[in-house]
Amino acid sequence: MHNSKWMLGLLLVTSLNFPDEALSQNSSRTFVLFPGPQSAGAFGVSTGFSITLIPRAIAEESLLQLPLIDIRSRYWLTDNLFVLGQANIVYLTNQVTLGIGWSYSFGSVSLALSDEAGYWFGFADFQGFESTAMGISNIPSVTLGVEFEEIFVTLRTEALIPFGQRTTFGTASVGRFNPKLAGFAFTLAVEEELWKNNYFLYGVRVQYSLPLYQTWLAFSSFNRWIVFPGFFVGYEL
Amino acid sequence: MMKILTIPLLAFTVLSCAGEQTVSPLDFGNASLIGQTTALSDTTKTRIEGIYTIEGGEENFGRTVVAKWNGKFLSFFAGTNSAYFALQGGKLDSTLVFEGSWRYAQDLNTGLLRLRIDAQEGGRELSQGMIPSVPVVMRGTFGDGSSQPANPIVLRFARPLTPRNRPFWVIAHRGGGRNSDLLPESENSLGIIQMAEGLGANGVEIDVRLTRDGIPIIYHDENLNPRLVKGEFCIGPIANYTFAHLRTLCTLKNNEQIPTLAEALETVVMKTSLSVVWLDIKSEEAIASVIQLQRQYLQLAASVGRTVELLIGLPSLNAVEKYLADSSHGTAPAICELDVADVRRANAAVWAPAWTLGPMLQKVTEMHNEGRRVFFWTLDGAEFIKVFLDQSMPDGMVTNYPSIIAYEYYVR
Amino acid sequence: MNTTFARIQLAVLVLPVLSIAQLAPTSDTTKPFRAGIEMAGGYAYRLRSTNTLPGNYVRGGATARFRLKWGSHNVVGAGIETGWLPISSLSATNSSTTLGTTDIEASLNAVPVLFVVALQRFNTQLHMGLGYYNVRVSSTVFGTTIRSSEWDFGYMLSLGYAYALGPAVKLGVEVKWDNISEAQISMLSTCVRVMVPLWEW
Repeated sequence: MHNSKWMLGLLLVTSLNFPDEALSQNSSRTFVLFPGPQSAGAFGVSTGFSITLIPRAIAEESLLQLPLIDIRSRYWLTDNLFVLGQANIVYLTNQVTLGIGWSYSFGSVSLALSDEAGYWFGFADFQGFESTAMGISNIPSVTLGVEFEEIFVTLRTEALIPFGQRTTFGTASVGRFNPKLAGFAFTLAVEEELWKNNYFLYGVRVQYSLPLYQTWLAFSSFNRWIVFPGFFVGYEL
Repeated sequence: MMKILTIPLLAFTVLSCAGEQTVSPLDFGNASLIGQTTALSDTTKTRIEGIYTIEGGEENFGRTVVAKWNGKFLSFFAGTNSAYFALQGGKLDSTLVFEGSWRYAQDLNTGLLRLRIDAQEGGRELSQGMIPSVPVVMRGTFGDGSSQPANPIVLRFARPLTPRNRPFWVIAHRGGGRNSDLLPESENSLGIIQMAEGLGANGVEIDVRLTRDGIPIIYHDENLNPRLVKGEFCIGPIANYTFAHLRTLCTLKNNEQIPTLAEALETVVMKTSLSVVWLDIKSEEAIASVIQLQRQYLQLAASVGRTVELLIGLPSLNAVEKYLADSSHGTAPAICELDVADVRRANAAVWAPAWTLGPMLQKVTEMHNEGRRVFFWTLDGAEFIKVFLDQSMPDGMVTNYPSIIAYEYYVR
Repeated sequence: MNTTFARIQLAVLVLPVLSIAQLAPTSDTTKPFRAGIEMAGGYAYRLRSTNTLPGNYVRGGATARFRLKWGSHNVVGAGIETGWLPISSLSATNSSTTLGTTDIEASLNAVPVLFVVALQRFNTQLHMGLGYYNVRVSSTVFGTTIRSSEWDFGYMLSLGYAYALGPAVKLGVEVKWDNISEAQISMLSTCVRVMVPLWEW
């Protein structure tokens, strides 16, 4: 855990004042994570940062852990059907996902099922490296949302199913195609208005899995599941 | 207004998680037969080496294994699950007996294993140092964890190892593997150096640093940290500590002492058959001391009839400059990680490029034409290893999993 | 030496501090924001020891914490926290080692530098902090003393109660958990704390 500036930013965000008055039910507000059904045509997007902390067993003293630019979006095709996408970018390691989901509300509790296709890629062209890598995956998920007046809490469970990857090193490359369940990820997030009409999302994501795309540069070949905690924060545009 | 505290509380909980796993060493204890056996001759050992097919353990170990003697270990290397067996053996009358453990190198699965070659299946002739007149068959059992083995396994000799026209080095990283590989010995310890041959290595790479009072020790990281050491009062750069402080206050993760370089080289020369040691210099100020120790232990090796190369590692331009500034560098063989131009400038015996630069066949050929060898580092995946064996001409590879390289190389 | 210094720390830090004010919600809406300093003193205890050396081993000691905090008429505040956190110490005579027999003196301490967020409800405060701890060691063996230090990531969680003694005075107690996760050090502290207002705007 070598980079904590984003963590300080996270706490700065969460330390901002709550308005005294309760927020009115804001049916025009489109959330990025909260699974409550929205109106057809609603669109939400957030931009921020995320980081996955790589355990010292893999990172040791040498692997620099960088925060990634984190962009999330969701568009409602109907009142219950939505498409969603996410991009995490930092050049060395990147992932984009695109998927579809269905949402249903039970009062203040909402449930959504979704499935995303993921494509990750990375570039390492500095001393000792002439390597690139890419891979594809499938990420089905179940999302539970609970609305607390002006705070919208989301709990999301993902299954991580990489299909394969290709790694190039110099003039050579190696590819493999072996779909398998490689782990799970659990996200607990909050979306709330921290000052007038300015909504933020922040949360933790705990990934329990084989070493996946976030650790590609370590070329880790551990065949056991490891805990990778992570954090994210975003501003909803 | 309700305050949501679960996210930071969950964050704290998550950040607190730091479970550590270990794989304990396995042995047969009182049930061991090895104490009743007599040693095998070198001729017998050579005749046991080869490629074997498996019956009864295919799901665990695949259909083919490579059998190879390294020092006192008979090791088997499998192409499935990165499995290997590390056994010791001897003869009991006309039967050959081998005991030890099997392990998947990249996860935690392990267990006991016992094999025998019965008299009528080659044991009689092998025990007398003769070529068997019947196909050699090894029969035995393997188990899970420390439980007595009960799963039958049969290995049938298929063919001998392919003769090679030049040697190949399987160099174990950090003496044998990293702490995160959960071996029973710590990385850069005397114990793991003695284990390396059983894992399939015929060379080791060890990391050299200098204490505050100028003693060369073997230790990888710049700092003392929970990944590598135990010791409540062991924090910060290891270069801040005298040798006495390290010996008094700190141990490695499996309770070993942090070895001096001298102790490590003594262990290599006197207790193993390893033929190459890459001295990866992490503290450039140590070069002068290391050159002296290199000379001292090469002389010791010669005096006891051991053939071993001790190579001074040059990982940076500063290291190259310090090496060239030492008046003894002409008689101190070196291994250089930098570009081929720097290899020539240092007149290094070995070029050691990172594998992530690719096979670089043309540059490898240039090095060979100049009489130098090439060791790639640090290769762990079987698919990557095969690419280098197919598309380049390496003389060796550094790896955290010697058994995988050993399989891929010797099975050809 | 360690024991004497610890006693001096304890004497200085548990004395009641004068000039206290509270960082409580203000009824003056023309000056809704205020900043102030909190000072705390108490005792810290190491929760999980990794020491295996024989001798007189002490887990923790007198601790001091200082917080500079910004708050508003709302219940959330933020600030910076630092202080002194003694982790452990060891004193041994004629210890047997592989190099011979020696006396051992060693101490481990930390200086936290944390960004904190405060949540307040009634007179109860919850503080959460993230940041770095400067973990420092001093040890003497075979007559030679070395010092070493490193910055390690960690976090803090505390729960406190403060009682208003006057319109701007608060005296409180706090239980605090520090986890220097990178160094695998976990501490529990109990402190008496006072709060001093500095500015209002």
